[in-house]
Amino acid sequence: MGVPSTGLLSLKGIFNEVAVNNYSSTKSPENASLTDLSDGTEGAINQTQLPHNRPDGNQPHAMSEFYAYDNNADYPGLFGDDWEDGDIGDGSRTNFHTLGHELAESGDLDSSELNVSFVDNSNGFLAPGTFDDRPVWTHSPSNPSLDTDNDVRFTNTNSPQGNWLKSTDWTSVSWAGALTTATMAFAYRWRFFMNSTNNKDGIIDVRMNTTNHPNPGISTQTYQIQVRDNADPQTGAVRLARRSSTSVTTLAQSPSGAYTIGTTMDFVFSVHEATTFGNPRTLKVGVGPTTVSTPAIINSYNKVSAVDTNYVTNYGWNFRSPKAMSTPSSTHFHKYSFIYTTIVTV
Amino acid sequence: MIVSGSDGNLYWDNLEGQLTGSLYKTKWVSWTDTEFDDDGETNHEPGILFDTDNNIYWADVQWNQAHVFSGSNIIPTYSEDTNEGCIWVYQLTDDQKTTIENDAQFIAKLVDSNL
Repeated sequence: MGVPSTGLLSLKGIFNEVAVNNYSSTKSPENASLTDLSDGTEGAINQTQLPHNRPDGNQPHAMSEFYAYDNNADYPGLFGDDWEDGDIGDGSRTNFHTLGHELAESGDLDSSELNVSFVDNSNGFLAPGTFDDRPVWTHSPSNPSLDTDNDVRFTNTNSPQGNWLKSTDWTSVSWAGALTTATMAFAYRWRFFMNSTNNKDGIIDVRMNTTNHPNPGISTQTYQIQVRDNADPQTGAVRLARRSSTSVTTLAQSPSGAYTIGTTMDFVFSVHEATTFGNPRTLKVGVGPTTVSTPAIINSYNKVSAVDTNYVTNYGWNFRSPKAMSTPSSTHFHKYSFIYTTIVTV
Repeated sequence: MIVSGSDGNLYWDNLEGQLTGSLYKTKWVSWTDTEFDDDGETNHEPGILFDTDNNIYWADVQWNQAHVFSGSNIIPTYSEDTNEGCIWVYQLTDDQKTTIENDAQFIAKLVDSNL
């Protein structure tokens, strides 16, 4: 049980929440210091809690900073990474209890937006079993790699299948099973940057089975979100397509400028289940400012929308770039800062 | 949003009237894209919007595949067997409509405006 979100708080209760994960414990500490509780001296502060639900560690300390704090709660998303532990995904990861997540930490969203965007879901159908752990990723041999900001950077390669970074410990999630009302959406949000003179499209693969395409980076069934680069007449257009083996059928496309190349913007791929007309499933891609909540990007910054029910179970995620990107790599790259997956109300 | 087509069928516009859309039936075209894989991938695009000489879209517009009512359900209009299907195309200019209707892949205009 965590700290209450309103009303009077007791220092004893806060101590017990930090010490034994139970605000209501009958234990009576002999010496309880608000400073020690707030700055992590008494026990590490759970960084999975959103910034407004945990102490900031700075003077002056206040008991009110502990409103709604839960010392042992997991991260409220279903799947996410920001690589802020300095590991691209194939090493020993640092969990979210220790570092939190960039989308929450950077102050991009205010408290009310975070409360809407970060909907706790305890279905538990995603590996690795708790939402505290970061995913495992596998990547193409030459790159991507992390830059000095711990963002994933894709640059030039001569590999015939380009570069990729795919999650590998995600079991599966059925969109139809997870969404129980038409006002819910399964939302995947990621932060993206492409240079204005990049000359290569970027692709996201929403992996809908586990059979590898000849390209080991992707599977034979995917929904594919493609961002067109400056070499394309429709620069910045977003294409949504469905892959079956080596056949790729376009479902929808935006006009140019859905994404403004040379800028950092947040993408949201969202899945919506209807309850009428045979329960069709709608797939949407929104592209919006980094400071806007996930539901707002879905509702107000939609770029493409398509009905498709061919695939329903998501097995993982993949970022991808083609070979022969322009050089030098210092000024020609794709960059991903984080990905975060949750269920939101729209 | 349900929209009545000139062929007597009812079509589903999943943008719900947010943009002015026209509904076209078109042949689809296929081309081999080697940008992401040297072995090539076969892309399928709506013929009335795609320039097969240059393998790019000639029209800078928003579009999506359309669905038609069958009983109380909606089903895809695009068929891989016939390589035909319907698409909603949004915010078209009169010149763009003329170009589409003169395209070799054009089959029919089913809705001129959904609003």
